[in-house]
Amino acid sequence: MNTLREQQRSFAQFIVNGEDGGDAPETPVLKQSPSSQFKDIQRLQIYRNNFVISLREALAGVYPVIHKLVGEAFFHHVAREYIQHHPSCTGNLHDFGDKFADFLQAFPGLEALPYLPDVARLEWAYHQVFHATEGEMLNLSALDEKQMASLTFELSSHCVWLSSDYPVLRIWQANQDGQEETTVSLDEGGVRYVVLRHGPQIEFHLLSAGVFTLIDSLAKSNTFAQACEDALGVEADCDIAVALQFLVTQKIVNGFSHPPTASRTT
Amino acid sequence: MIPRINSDIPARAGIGLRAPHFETVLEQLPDVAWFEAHSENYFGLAHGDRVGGKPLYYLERIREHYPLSLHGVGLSLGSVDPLNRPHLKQLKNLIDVIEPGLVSEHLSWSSVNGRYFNDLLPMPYTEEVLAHMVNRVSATQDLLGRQILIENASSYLEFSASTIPEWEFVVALAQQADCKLLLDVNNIYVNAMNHMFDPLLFLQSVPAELVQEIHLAGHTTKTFEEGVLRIDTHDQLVCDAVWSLYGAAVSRFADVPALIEWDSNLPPLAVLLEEAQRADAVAGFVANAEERHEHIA
Repeated sequence: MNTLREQQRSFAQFIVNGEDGGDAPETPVLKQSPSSQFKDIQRLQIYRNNFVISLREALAGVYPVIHKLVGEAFFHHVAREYIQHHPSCTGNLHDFGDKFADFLQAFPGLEALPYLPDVARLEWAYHQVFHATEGEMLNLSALDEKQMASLTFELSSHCVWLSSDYPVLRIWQANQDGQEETTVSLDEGGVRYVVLRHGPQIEFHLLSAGVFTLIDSLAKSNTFAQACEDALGVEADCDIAVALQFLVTQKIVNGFSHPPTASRTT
Repeated sequence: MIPRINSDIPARAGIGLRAPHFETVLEQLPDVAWFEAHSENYFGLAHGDRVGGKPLYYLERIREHYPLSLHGVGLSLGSVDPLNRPHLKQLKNLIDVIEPGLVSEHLSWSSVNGRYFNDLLPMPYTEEVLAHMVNRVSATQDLLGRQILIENASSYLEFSASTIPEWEFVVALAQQADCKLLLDVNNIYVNAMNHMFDPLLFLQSVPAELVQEIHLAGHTTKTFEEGVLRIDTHDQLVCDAVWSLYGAAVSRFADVPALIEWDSNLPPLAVLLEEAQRADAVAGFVANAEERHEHIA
């Protein structure tokens, strides 16, 4: 198998680095066709182009608003760099691009658009929710208040909650296809929101500081009592009953477990 | 719940199912015999144990009305990396949910040391590579608990190391791994033009009982100073030469389902339906012609 291993390694090397991989890149030896004068490098270059284009298009498919905001030329540039630094590591192209927001955060030349990484986080959240399994509706009616307090909740994978110092939801909406030109002022301030899916429908819901904290605290496996305390700590008049209703009907909470029973001495 | 239609893929033309057509398909329930879906589009993200997402929401509904086949593009069967178990687990889960009539993958590779290129890269054809592919396909069939089809890939180069013609390689693979073949007639034509062989020789070398599906797609002819290359772009109508080759294929492999593949620069569904009708018409014409021929003889 060593021959095949060697051949695939050098093929891959060329796909990733092209002719920049060295003065004379080591490439697999190809057959010469009697009907054409293509050099080996030219034939391999087709695969290199396909590789770059397909990963770039996958990235543009997940991040259409980023593409729009930075423009085609810059997007090509940043995508090429991203592909080099964060290779695809599964056979499913939909997994590609998960680190793009952090990459943009550190990318030189984008300092003038400080909200860009958070817009990318929103777009990745949308993509995650698009591909996630929908949660199940919980039935909590059998539980009394005391039992509720000690429960921990499991959160569904079909929702992602995020916050930003920038009005990223408005920026995202203003840049959807078919939207009339509007101006979004950064002075509008930050936003907390959750992205979730109901069947084919992907929805954004704005969250108050209290509800955001409630979800965040439950996600850390805190008890419901602890999560409520955290929520009320950031928003004193947070209506916990309404918040819980929201979490259940939106299937944000997907399951619950009772605390481990304390060991009894007999 | 509506009972599902039987999973068997009929010997008629189907269409590659793409996301922009999901809603149109469900609204119109067009007169097409079956659909083929790219497996990975329905996996959900990153090695989850459950398949899911909005694409699967639609696929399950479409499955109620049509037989489906699952066509993989990401298993990297030809790679020397270990077989991708999480990927196979996701595929198995999807198979359990969708109950496809056929499951297929490619004679190609796409990863090295866990880095994926998400493309169908070409293999050299040697005895060593054949043994490797036979192992990989056998292991895949064992893990999935079913027989799969392997598709011949298009290529823009040939390796000096190759010692076996492509058509002999695919036949030997199917016979030794006990899999079936998905013959992509467009890929045969593209390779025949790129590598100067007679596409009919390819068809004639494949025993009829090995072929369970045929693919049809459009490709692009690119002219360079150094010569001409056919690129397998799946972005246009099937060309006349490939229709002719399809006629020859139908005549050799009777009663095999055909599929119209169109992946980029996607037209309205109606265009794909017309292509599928054309494929059925060609198959019908060939069958009739053979009948007439028998009468005369």
